[in-house]
Amino acid sequence: MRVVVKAFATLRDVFKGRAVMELILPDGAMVKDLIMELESRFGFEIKSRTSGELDPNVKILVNGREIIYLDGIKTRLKDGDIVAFIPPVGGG
Amino acid sequence: MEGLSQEEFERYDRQLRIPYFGVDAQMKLKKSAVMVAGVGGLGSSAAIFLAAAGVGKLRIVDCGEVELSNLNRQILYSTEDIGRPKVFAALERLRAINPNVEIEAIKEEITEDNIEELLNGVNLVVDGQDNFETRFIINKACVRAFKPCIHGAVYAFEGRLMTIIPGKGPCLRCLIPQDPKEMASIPILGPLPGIVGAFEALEAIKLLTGVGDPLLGKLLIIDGETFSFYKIEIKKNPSCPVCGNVK
Repeated sequence: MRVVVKAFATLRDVFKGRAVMELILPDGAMVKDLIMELESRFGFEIKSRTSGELDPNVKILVNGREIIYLDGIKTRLKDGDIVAFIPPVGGG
Repeated sequence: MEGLSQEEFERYDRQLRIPYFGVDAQMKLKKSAVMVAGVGGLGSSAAIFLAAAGVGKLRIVDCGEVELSNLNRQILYSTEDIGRPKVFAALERLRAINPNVEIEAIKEEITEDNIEELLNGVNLVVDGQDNFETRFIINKACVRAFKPCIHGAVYAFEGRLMTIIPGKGPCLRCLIPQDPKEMASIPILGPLPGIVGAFEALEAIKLLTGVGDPLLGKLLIIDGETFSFYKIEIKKNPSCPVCGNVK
């Protein structure tokens, strides 16, 4: 299945500035599978520096809904889903 | 305080023509005081629009001096201001824009020790910071003092905006639970802090006058690269160490 990934701010930098990336994942893949794919292919860094867990500062949305209100990283993806990764920004 | 002078009627003519704004709203602005916490890229744009709109008093706080690398975005300053304390250069410029506004320029770093005093007498705070640490100091103090803070931030082609009203919605700590890594010399394209600062001024004017709906519990993301605007719902964290016990 095809999944559209939208990366924001610092995470967009690892996509070489591309706002949107389309990825092919096996059917039944979850958000955590997508994260592993992004980490290995693009060097995505969304783990907390202190805990090694997923960084709670990075908002992850599937089709506009934050995954903490879905099934977290176990949220199942389907063909055509749009997944957004939104880290905090601090410039001014 | 008396009403508006003839000069003020003319100066604010275009906004007074907005039917649901009018003289009442203008008088509310005139009686208001706003702290612009940091007059860099965000603070420049916000302070200019707040002064031009006729906010009664602006307290501008910044410890920095104007640097050449500020000038791609910090529209309060000119090349000849390089090396001058930002707040003093800003004061002159803002006064020139609107002499009716009382400008208080404070050249200080915002810390845990002085923030309470800095908040004294202002109705709300506009976040013009360039780092997370000071933003969290301001956030905590605003929650404690029950004063709204309009959060703005930028990175490269992107802008963020969220209005924080203590007791009514999430705070900055609900949005960003852990201290992120600070970045020195953050990449920024000039129009982004210009846009976000203008939006912060807009939110401040709305809150001060009671006109419109504030961006409460929502994070606005402005993607200047694709010209997409996203509004993401941010919920108050019931166990937030800063605002969790504030009702």
